[in-house]
Amino acid sequence: MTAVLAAQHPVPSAVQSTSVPDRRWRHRITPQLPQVLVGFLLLLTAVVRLVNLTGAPQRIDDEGTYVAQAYALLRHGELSHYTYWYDHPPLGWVQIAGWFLLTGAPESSSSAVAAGRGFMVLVAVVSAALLWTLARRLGLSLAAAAAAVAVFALSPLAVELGRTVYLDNIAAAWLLAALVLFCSPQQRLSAAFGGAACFGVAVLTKETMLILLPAVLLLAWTRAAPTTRRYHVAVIGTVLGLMLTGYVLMAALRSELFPGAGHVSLVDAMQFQLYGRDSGGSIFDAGSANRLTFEHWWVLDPVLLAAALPAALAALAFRRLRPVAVGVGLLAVVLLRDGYLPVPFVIAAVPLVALLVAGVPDAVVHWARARPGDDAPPRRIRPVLLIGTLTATAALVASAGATWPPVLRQLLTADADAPLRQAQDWITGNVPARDRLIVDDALWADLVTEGRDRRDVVWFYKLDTDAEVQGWSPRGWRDYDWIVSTPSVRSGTASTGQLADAVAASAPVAVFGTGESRVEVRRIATFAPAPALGEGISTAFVGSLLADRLADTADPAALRALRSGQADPRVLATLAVVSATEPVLLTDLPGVNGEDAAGQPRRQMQLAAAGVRLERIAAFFRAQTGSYAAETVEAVPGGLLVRFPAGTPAVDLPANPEVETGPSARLRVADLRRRGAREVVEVIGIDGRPVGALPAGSYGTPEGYRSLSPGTYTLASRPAEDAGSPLVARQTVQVLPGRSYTFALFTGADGSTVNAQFVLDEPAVTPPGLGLVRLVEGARDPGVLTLVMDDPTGGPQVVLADGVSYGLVTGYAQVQAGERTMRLRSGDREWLLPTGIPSAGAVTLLLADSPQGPVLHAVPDGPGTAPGLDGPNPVGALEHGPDPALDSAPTRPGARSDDAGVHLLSVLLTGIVVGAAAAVAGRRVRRRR
Amino acid sequence: MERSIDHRSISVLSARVARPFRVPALVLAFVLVCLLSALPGRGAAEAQVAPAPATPPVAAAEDLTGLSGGLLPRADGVQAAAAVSTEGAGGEPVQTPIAVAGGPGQLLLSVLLVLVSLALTVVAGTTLWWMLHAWRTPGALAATGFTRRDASRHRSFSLLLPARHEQAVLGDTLDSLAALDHPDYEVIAIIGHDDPETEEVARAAERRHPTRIRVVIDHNVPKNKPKALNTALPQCCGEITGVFDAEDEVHPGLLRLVEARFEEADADVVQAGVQLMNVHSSWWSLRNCLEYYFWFRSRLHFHADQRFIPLGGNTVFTKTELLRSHGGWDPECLAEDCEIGVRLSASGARVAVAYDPAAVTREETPDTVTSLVKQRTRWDQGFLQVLRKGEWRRLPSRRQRWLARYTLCMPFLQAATGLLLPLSLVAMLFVKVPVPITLLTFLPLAPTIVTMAVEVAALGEFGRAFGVRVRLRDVLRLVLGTFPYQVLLAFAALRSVWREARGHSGWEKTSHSNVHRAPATPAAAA
Repeated sequence: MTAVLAAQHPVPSAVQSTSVPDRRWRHRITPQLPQVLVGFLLLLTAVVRLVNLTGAPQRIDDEGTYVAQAYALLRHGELSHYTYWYDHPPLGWVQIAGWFLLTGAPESSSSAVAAGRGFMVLVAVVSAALLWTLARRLGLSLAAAAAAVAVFALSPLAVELGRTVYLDNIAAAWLLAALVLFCSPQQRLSAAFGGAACFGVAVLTKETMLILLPAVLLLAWTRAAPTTRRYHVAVIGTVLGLMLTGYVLMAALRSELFPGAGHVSLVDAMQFQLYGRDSGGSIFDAGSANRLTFEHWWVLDPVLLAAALPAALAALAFRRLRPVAVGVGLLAVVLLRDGYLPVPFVIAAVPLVALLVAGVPDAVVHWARARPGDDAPPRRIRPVLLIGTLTATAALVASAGATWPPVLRQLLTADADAPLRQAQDWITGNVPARDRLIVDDALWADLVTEGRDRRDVVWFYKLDTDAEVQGWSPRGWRDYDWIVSTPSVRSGTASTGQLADAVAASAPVAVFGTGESRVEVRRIATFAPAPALGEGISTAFVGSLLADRLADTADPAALRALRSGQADPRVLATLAVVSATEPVLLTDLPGVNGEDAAGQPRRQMQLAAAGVRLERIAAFFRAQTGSYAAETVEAVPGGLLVRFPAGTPAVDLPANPEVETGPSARLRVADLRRRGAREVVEVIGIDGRPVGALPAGSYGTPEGYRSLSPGTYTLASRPAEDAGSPLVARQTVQVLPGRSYTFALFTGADGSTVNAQFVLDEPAVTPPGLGLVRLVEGARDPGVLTLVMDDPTGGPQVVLADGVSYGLVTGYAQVQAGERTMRLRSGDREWLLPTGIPSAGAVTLLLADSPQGPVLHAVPDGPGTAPGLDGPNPVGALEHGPDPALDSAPTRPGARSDDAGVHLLSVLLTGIVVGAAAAVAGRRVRRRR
Repeated sequence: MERSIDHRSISVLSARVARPFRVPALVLAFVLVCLLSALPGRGAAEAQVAPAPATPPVAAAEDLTGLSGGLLPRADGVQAAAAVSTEGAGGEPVQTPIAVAGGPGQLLLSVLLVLVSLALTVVAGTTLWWMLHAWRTPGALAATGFTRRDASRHRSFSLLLPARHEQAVLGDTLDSLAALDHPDYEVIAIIGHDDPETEEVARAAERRHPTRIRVVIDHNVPKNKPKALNTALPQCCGEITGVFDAEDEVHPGLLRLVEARFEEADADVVQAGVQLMNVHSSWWSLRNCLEYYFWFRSRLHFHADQRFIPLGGNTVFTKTELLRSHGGWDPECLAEDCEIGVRLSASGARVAVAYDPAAVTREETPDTVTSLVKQRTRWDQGFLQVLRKGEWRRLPSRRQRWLARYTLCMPFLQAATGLLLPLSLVAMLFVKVPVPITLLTFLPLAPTIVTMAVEVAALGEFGRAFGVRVRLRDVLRLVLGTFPYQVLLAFAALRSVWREARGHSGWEKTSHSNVHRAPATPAAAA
């Protein structure tokens, strides 16, 4: 059809943007070549970016910030997830929020940043379509326009930075839209309106687009017809000015325009952006920040960067390309000065340079074929120019062919985000929901979407800079439990400040990846962390003992892990206790991904069991409380997997579990928990050997001492009547030869936990007439007490204890022996309790509740003989009734669908854009006919 | 805005407000709502920011081996299980900051402000876009002029010139009209029977140019322009009837251009350009001149494209047969030119518009503000009469009918816009609504500001086209005079509504003083 019509109606050259010979050649191949070409190039752009979209590059802080702000806009109606301080105008993340609204992100994709990257793919496809239109309108031939878009589609610089959620990508698309509109073929005034509005949106998305303002205005000026030019200028100037004023107006309406006390301001932010930032140094200084940024770009695509300036200088000679060349020149000038140079700065330059790199050879070729009388250089130098340009172009293509494929391959296949992804999974599975974290913003939105409180997940950057955040944690970094260290955190930490202190006070619990891009999940320790391998000699010692005992029934790999001290003390302790009552088959001590790299001990154990025994063992682990409590007990094929919580205080193993032999020690139990049932305390060696049992006595009245050999034991208790109920491990203790001990059990503050204290009954020798007393406060009802001892001789009262409450065990003090009266005061109540203090002896005053009020039991301490422990139950002799069934494997919270859905949507939208572009191009061509 | 409400729907409203009073009533209602909402009430009391969540008290870990506080010392050698941290993190869940909770008054005000702002933006925006119609592409701009300079055959013209108390200017006008470059035309001066001074001047001119000029006496009582024109219409000999005013300065080659336009566009009516020239006389004459510039250069072309055009009463040429078949002009209408344009559009007549700066008919603004207001009152009242008469309902397409409604209401809409816009901005200082609503209230300012910039550009173009020097002073006058001019026009619109409601339809004549004629007039040199 084109052929027929071209013959019948010579198309006026003012309307046509291609030269006539081009058309004749083109239409021989296919009349729809432009549409097909555009469609293919847009598809290429989309595919190159979609493949391995979330894998490379690694998610960075900035991306997380923008998606977090979009999330905050959608969920909370606020401009930012923290105080909006006018660092960038908000229109960029408003658009991201629009995408989120459309696609149901971030819940519908694997992570918030992944959803943002899906949006970036759409933006890239739209940018490519606009670049094509711009190229055609600037007079580039079909081949040159295709080359420009191909460069944009394939350049690794464009691909990597184009995938990353940067505001510059969105702004560059709007910039291209503005340039396209200003090149309206009919020089429409409505296009001038639209172009000014698009450029206004570009500036309000990323303020650095203002650098290109002169180039954009130059384009608008040169493309407008002289007769209507003054109206174009009036319209463009006012529309642009109004949009920028709108932003200032918004700040003014929020009363945040001018600096003032207690609030952020636009003026402050502008001053900071222009003058306040540290200079990055010249890009020619090796080691300066700007040089590093430049090298980051250079590694991705040296060809485009090297060709930028020469192409811009050459393009100045061609009238149509001049404004684009001016734009690239402005960006180069800003690049070369010593200022703050952000990594995404080059994004705006990429499509422009692609245009010039394709446009200059095309213009030279057009010159070469120019007829006499056209605006062209003289005939003599044409061959020189032509050969020179073609040589340069060939060199560019060759070097691109050499340098791009390896980088592209890496972008399409490497999984650079694995460390962060694994760290995120680890946090989801192992960090309790109410714990407070300091994170990189790349994780913020995902952790908050999981259900964590906004104030529990804090972006590290705000720790030292935002007063509101500091108000949430009055003790500073001590209020936080975890800190996630990523490359951004490590490079963004100043030498002083809350963040630096938090990092210094933390130790890694799980490490993912290696080298610069590693991600560490660190526990901020306000108490002793689990002993890392290398310090825990005792874990190796204890592990070996246990391994020796379990050697027949354990997997060799598990035994090796035990012997090498890789086992967590809690694993050792509970394994010892359970193996004392049941025969256990230890199959493995699986590690959690990342924790071995951090040097953390193995906190999981896998046991083989079946049937009733499986249920008993599961019941045992579920019954453990306090430090010995398991995080999950789940059934796996063939047995049971027990996992202990990460990062919580471990069971204290005595520093030196080897105890020299010697005379027996003595032990008694003082049960000061308000319970009905009496309990029996079983003593189990740390190697899992059951030693014996002793009764706990009733509340407030301990039974007598029992003797046992010195050593390291785990004490566990169970109800006296029910021999089948699981033992609950209480404490791992070291019994030294010849000493006497009291094992005191108190109820914890929340009523369900049990605090145990293993105290030494070792009174010193006292002269006659004096006695030693100590207090064990087992009375809850009176509250805070004061204990005063009367002097029968009328002397001053002796204040034994003041302001004590339930759970206290004191040391010994020397007082006058004899019958003494103790006054117990609590508030305005007082009780008188007569007590006898033995002369030259020691007594423990045990305070207990009774229906009549607090009572005082004086329990004599001191050496003496004691009967041995009751015999232990033989292992495996217990028969239990049916126990509740095991749980199925608990579901991980926040299970997220993969981003196949979002990617499908991106592809669909890409397809729509491609189809629309093809249809518009088709209609354009038909209309022209 | 209420103008868009069909009169069928008025019965739904419980209060029947008379049509002419709707706009003032709306303005009053808006002001009242603003004031009422600004008063502190329940809404203000509730509008407290959600209290900042209290930081949780730090729970001290139980210190089991602490001092007794008395004689008993701390125990040593205690092996105690480390305390498992039971502190909760974060305290109460964060309360999402609720938007400032206002009462129903706030909501009503927000909705009202949004609607009013959008309506104002639409009015200002469409005004701007139609104002810029001629410059939408360079091709369109070229098409607004006389593209063809000569017709294949000459047509005969009858030029009607009604004059009343115009003895000062009539003589010069008739002389220049007698000297037009065209072989076949006649000039008919229509003088009232009670106007001897003007009749004397006309008769003198008739004696000077006996072949060209004729005088016709109008005996109607009371007198107005359409009646005068209707008196002369039966006596027109020309194929094409043109109408001029007594003070017009007509380009000599106009008739050739007009007949070329008739032929080129196959038109029934041709509206050629009229331009007020005295930009330097005063601030309002400057704005008045630009108004005409935009109207004749751009806006009328838009109407011609839409096949609905309110014609001007000057330099307009119609086929005589067409005029006669439509019964001439409406003798009772104050805007007879608009009225005949509506009637002709309704019967499908093709109208062509052409504006060439070299060939415009030059006129002058009214000499005082009072006469400007009176002129505007007359035009606005005339628009109202045309609207009420309902001839526009016969327009074929719905789009044309809506355009007719909108155009005929435009003086009132523009007056309302001019008044409501500053009012709503002032209201912003006193009422508390969410920031996005406030931003939306500023939206109508955008087309207004763009309009001002476009007017400045047009002033520059005017200066170049007509050889008039435009200085910074003129630009400042233009920009600063925007709002005062709106006040003048609004006052004239209100006055027209008042007069129409009271049934005063007398013709208030505009007086002229020949200011626009360039040679030796002191005002033009100002």
